[in-house]
Amino acid sequence: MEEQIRMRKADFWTSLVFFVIATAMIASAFTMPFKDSFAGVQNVWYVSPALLPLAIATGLLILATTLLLNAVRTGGAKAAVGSLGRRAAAAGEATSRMLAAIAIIAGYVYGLIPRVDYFVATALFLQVFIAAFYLGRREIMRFLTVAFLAVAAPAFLADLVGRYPSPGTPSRYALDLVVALVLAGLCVVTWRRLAGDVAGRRRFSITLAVSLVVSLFTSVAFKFGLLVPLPSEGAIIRVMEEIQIALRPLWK
Amino acid sequence: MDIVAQFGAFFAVLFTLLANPFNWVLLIAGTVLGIVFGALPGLTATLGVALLTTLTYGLPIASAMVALLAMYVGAVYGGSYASILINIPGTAAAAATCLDGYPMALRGEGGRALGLTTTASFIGTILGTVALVAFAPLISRLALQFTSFEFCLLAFFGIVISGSLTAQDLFYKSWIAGLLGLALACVGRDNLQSYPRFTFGFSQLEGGIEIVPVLIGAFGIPQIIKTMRDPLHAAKPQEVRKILPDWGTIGRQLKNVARSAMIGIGIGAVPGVGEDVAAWVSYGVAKNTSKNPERFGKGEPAGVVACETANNACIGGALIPLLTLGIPGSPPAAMLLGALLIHGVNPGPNLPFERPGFLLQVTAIMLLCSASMYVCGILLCRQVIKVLRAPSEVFLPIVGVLCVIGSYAIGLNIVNLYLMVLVGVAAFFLIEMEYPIAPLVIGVILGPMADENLRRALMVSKGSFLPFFTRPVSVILIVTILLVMLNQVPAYRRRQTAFFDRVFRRRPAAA
Repeated sequence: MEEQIRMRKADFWTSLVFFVIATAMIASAFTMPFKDSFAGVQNVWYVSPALLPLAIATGLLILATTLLLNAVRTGGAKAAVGSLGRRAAAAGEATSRMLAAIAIIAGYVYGLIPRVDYFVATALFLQVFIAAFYLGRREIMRFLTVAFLAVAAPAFLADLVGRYPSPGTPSRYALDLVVALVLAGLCVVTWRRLAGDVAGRRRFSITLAVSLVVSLFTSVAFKFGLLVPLPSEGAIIRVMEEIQIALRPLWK
Repeated sequence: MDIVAQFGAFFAVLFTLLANPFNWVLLIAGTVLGIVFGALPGLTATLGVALLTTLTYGLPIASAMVALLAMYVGAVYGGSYASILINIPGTAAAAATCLDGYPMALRGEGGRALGLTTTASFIGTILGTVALVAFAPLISRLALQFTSFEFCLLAFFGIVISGSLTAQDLFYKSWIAGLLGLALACVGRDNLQSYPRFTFGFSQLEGGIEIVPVLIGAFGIPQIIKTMRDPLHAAKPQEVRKILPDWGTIGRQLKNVARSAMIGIGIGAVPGVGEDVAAWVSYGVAKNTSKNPERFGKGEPAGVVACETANNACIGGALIPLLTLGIPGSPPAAMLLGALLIHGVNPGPNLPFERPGFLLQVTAIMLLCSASMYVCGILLCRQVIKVLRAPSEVFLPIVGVLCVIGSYAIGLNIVNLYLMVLVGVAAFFLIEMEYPIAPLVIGVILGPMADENLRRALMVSKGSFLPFFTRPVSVILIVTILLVMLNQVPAYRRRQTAFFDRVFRRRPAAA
């Protein structure tokens, strides 16, 4: 029963989201050519690019209304509105883990991957993501997640306002090294926090090994094996390129 | 004579594939990787095929298909390892195998159960392949008669039917998911007039949304978030002494095997409905038709055989609509569609003309994959069991990295990554609210087909909808779509049940 109410509560909010999406789609579809000419072609309604979006948005609007009415009928809407004024209860263990996982993935993709050297970004991501969950300690999970976001969010924001250095510039390489230093610093801090926890330190050693080996393997495999340029090639990838050039005579 | 020539062509293709040693490496590596992906709870066949797609896009199409199909076949089979040995299904397709596989392992028959699953999966894959080679040309020939009217309806049919069997909560949630998928497919310049739709001024969105990153996001990211939130703390795997193919038991189960294979093939051919549904349905049928239904759930070999035959037979079934109509029969087949498109292969009725011999090639590859799965399953079983001890908190972040770099590698476009995470997080919350993801994915895939053919059909009829109701195949499709939709409405189902009760059953005698 509680699960049903929770589901209907969620239905209430999602129906509103679908309303917004459908309305925005309809508004946008009405800006598309219907009968007027586009690119020198006189349109007729049935060839209009707005035809399918309008049909989809109308369907979505009808289904969102059905979802909303069901939520109202089954008490989901009342529960959802009632919970608005109340202070949100402290996040449970599962919710904290879910939020931490989403935050780390989002930080990696939106913050680090487009800007920081692939090897450094991936090693940091793996170290934080694995340690946060594998060590099984909530305070370490929180600390690592916050520290990770403290690196990823400024990188994202700086790029958003056009202040992040361009690829190949010395200041960009310097920032790669700063992130590498953060990686090393997090290692030291986490290791010290695990003082006296033999099993925890063993797990953290595995974490470190996995994060470095996987980062190195994927960098080499994609960059030199599949010949795919990496999203951001910074200081470490440049070093790898130099090593490859130096070693090339050995197999040529 | 024609059949002899076809057989000759088939063996020629088979030997050409085998003549390339690189294909051997891909076949064995793909199978082993597939078994490992299937065995590890939290990793799925779809995710395996998705990640491998990103690694094989530089290979020739034949070699890429060897790796991808080996992964697909191996992963569907590999799911049974975790089901039998730790009572946690490695993939959703093997969930039903837990019911009888784990009790067998508890009795000390883990090796026998694994031998049975290996043999049943092998037979299932072979029978699925036979169905593929038998039905695909017929459906292709039929589909050649289709025009824009039928293709438009076929796209909607795919979306509706994939939702009908996967919806768990409110029936219309599957329709909402399908519409969201179609809405995503509208992003970018439209195919007929090149008008930019929902691009918000971003030039990166003008080419539309790439299918593979969306699929990786929809299937990979929710799996990672869910498993990190609720980690799978697997128990110590049950001991396995000897793994031998139990042909004797299979021989006594021939009727069960044939029936389960037919169920698997049939369900596989239904767009978007995967191996998990096939396994559950065939398990239910095997139990209901058994002379000893009370033994099911307590370690009955027939239960294991039914599930494993059906889920592997489903693969061949899922390839039938994929290759003949361009509509994927299951989520991993949706990934295969993405891979085929990347390689410049457009599955559909024109495939036999554009790429003659491709169907034979796929059939030969399926045959090789089933043989490879059988050999690797028997020989490497004990080594794969060791993988079950790997903690999910370690391997899922690695999968996360592969999702990211794989999605990026396909188009070298960072926007693909942004989309992948957005779609992935949205898919996670939709799954939490019991929205099926299959219709969403099928919507993204079939959206362009629906859009283009709807407008093309209306152009032909000068804006009239009448031909939709006068063309025989169109009418059949419309009736089927309406029936499938109606069948999901609880009020209609209640009335339908009451009607059949009235017609076919006697009313209880009045007191």
